[in-house]
Amino acid sequence: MLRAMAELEYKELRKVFDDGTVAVDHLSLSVADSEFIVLVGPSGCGKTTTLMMTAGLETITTGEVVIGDSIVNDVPPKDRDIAMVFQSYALYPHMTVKDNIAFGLRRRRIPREEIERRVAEAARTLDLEPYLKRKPGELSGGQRQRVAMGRAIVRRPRLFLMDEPLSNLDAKLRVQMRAEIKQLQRQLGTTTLYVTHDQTEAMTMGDRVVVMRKGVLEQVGTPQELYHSPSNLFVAGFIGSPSMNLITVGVEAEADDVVIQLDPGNPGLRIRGNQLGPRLRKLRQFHGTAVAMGFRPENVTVATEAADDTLRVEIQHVEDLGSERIIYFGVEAPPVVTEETRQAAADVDEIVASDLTRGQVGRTVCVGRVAGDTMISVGDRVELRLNPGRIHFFELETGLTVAGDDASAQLRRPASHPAGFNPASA
Amino acid sequence: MSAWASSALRLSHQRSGRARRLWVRLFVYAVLAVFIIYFAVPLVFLLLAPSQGSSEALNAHPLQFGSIHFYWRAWSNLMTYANGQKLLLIWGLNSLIYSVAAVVLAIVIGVPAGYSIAFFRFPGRRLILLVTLIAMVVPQNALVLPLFIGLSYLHLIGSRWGVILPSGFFPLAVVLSYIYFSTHFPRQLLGAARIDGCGELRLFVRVVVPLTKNVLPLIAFFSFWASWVNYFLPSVILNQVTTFSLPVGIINMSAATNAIIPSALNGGLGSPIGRPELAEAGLFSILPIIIIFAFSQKFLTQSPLSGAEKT
Amino acid sequence: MAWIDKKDAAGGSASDIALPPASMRDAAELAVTGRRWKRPLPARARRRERLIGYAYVLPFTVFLLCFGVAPSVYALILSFHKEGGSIFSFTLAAYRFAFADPVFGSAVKHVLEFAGVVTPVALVLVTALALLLHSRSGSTAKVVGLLYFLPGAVSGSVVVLIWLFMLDPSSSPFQSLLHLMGWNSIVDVLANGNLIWVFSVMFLWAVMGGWIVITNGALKNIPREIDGAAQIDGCGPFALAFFIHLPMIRKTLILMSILVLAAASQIYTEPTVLATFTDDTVPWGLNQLSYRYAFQFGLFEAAAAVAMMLVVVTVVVAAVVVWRLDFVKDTQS
Repeated sequence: MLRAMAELEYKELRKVFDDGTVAVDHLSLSVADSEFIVLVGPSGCGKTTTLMMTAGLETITTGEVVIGDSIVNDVPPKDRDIAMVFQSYALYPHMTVKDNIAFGLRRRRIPREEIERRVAEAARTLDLEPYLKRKPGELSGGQRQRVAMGRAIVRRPRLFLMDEPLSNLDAKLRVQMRAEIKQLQRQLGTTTLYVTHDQTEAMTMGDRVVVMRKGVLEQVGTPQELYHSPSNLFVAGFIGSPSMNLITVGVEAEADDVVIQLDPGNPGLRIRGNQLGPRLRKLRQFHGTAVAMGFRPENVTVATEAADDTLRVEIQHVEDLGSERIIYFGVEAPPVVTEETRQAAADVDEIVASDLTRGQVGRTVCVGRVAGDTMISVGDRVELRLNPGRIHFFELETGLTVAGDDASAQLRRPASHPAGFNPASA
Repeated sequence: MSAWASSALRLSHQRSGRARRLWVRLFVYAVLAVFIIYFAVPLVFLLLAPSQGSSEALNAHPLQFGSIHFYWRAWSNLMTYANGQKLLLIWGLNSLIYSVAAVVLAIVIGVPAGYSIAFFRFPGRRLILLVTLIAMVVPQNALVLPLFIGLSYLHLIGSRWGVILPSGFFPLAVVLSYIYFSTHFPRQLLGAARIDGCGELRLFVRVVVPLTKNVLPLIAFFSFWASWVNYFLPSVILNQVTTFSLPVGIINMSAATNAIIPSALNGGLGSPIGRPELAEAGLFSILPIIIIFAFSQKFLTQSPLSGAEKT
Repeated sequence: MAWIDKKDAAGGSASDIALPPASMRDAAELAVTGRRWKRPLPARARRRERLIGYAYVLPFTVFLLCFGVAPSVYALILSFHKEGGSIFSFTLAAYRFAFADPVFGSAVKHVLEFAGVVTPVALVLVTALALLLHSRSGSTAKVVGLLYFLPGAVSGSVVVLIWLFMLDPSSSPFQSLLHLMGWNSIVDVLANGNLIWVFSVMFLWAVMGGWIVITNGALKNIPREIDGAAQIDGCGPFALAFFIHLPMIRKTLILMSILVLAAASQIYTEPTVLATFTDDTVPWGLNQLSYRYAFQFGLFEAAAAVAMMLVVVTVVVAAVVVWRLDFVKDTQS
């Protein structure tokens, strides 16, 4: 497999603050040229610290940051050939928009005509021409954000760094700017490191997404990989909105099949040998123990009659969106309560389900998305079919996915590779 | 770039970076230290001077510590000055009275004014604020004369009230409370209280006043300081020695001796007030406020103008 | 004033909160947004708001008039008053008298020189020291800042006392420095030509510390992200201070310059107290001159004239800058 030269690389990067907190713990990552890579995770996961170390605004404890072909650990920020967009934009309030954009170029003694040219070009690209003479205080949030972008692109750096640039904008503007930033990046072809806590932003913008938690890289991959093949409980619960349903189930191996056991008295789920594929083999090893089972809301359909692959559930709440219906149903199995799921839930706004779950012992309220014309109402007892190919299983102690073959079993800290190399096969 | 070259470059970056940082740090500390000497040495002198008795002081270095005994001797000399009236203590008490009164007046008069200008619309509001800002910028010194004439017209010359009343005019209190009310005060609270049927006066007393505890220490500090340190107006208004504040009294006492020029260590003319005594009196006058200074650092490090720099 | 308007615009009109809601809908809107439903205020409510506003601002206005406005106006009238004439008399005699007095000329010269030395020096040193303090870590900056600030606690009169000890070559810790300048006794140091420097040293000692703390506070208000952006843009420490920090604390620096200039031009305590020790009878500064006219010669009109000249210059400069500052506030962030 041909390995492209990495534009940005972290080698066992580690940051420990004075009070002993480990903000980033042995992070290793390879970013290819022109790649748009997103660091995502709950607050305190180390994504911003990583960005700051890349920029040179934060010291590195151990490990290396490599930009291009040189180690930049001790190189001051201005010599790293980077440009950054800050969360609060950090525009110079006493300078006009034009001066803000031109400031970095002027400091580098770039000839005047060149500066004028570049500023005009950036202004045109970002629709800032009418505002060049204004000061940041006279601009709206969206305009300021564009000025911050302008200041970055005009430098034509090797690497863009963006620290949650959209979080101060209102929802509508945010969606608009997401597309604009991605388009701009594709146009310019500059490698971009983008930090956000919003998994939707990460999924829609990233060529690859790095999920971090407590300073550790949990998983890196394309949005599709993360969505369909999460390597552990945290990633499974963090990525996707509404988030994946997680319940604690028992595993029984019976001949060729595996029986998933819910609470006693419930017939549970029977998975045929040929439905799970290579994963089934691994699952059989968990015979007699409990595992976490996860399924995404869209992999649920209403069945007409009970079968091996259906669960009997009671509908507790229905939200009618017209094109689809969101159903909340109680499953007779305890929820998965580990540190990972708690942290994942804390950052995703899935309040309804967890609120409903709270009152019920031994039961988990799950979320499903079904067609808009499905005849279903609160109080109904229905059979729900789960798509077995899309069911995920996780070990409860480690949180790791029960994968198909040992070669692709996830290590606690998976090494990461540029796009194209897919370690986890679904 | 080869691995050797890149690590050599990295090392040179490291070394030059570290060396540069060291020089810069040395330079900064050197400059800061020079000014520490400028600002602190006179105060250290004041602290140590009373510890030197006359004979030793002739030969000893000015900043040398003599003995504690001399502090006590200087103190008793001060207490016996002017027929043992313990004037220094009386002056201290006066200063305290004037300053506390100034604080009370500044708060009671200034805070409601700031509240009013921040939240109520009435004609003349902007004018009052403008005049207040100008008044804050123009120090009192140039107006002492007309103030004197006015106070003399009110028969307040020689009276303590002649010092206390003018100190009630403290425009900084209004400006500080205005800035506070218009930036950090939760306005919605007023609306909510009014919906609950709260009358204006009750609103002010029950809702607004408890929430001023963020700005009151600042106002109290500045008004206390301004009053404690004031020399000009009290020196002109007060004429009875027993009503003097510390700044006025100490100069009065110093001028009556010959301790400064020529610098006799005993106060020439047979007066017991010499250099150690004056230094101790000076120390006495600044100790209370220095203690207040030290304890007020936390809310002073945030600039009182912080609300004004932003919009 | 543009400043006040902008605040109103940002936070909802002041009067929006002042009036009691007139209906349930108003009340709901008020509780949620803190803003009143926009419709013209009934006259009764407007009047009520006005009355309440006046009530709270009344005590201060009284003091403002009595101790701020009235003395100024009185001094103004007095300076044009004809001695022995009626209240409405107008004459420039007082001003002519002052101008003719050679001591006036020397006092003006002294004040101009003194203020001219002290203001730029204070501006430069305070800015430099504040920037240096800002670059150091929290605990160092706090302790050093406090040390710089302490002299401000000392009353002007005691400042003179302390510095008389400091400037006396026979008793000073700075003996070596004084001897180096060729001064062997305090009389040498206090020679007439040196007074500017003597007063400068005293004045700056007492005044700079407070401004260093205030300026440092203003520097602390600069968001750290801006420092980061400037570093990435290519700023070293000097460029950062010059291009970013200084312009962002402009208002504080301007205000400081004005206040220092005003205080310096109106200096009274230091020269007067010094004079009691040197038994010097000639007034050195303008305020002293005014005092002398009033209390020694009973020439109240002349005294008022001198005071007026001092005040007018300061007030004009202050008013212009206060006005411009507010103006500038709207266009600056």
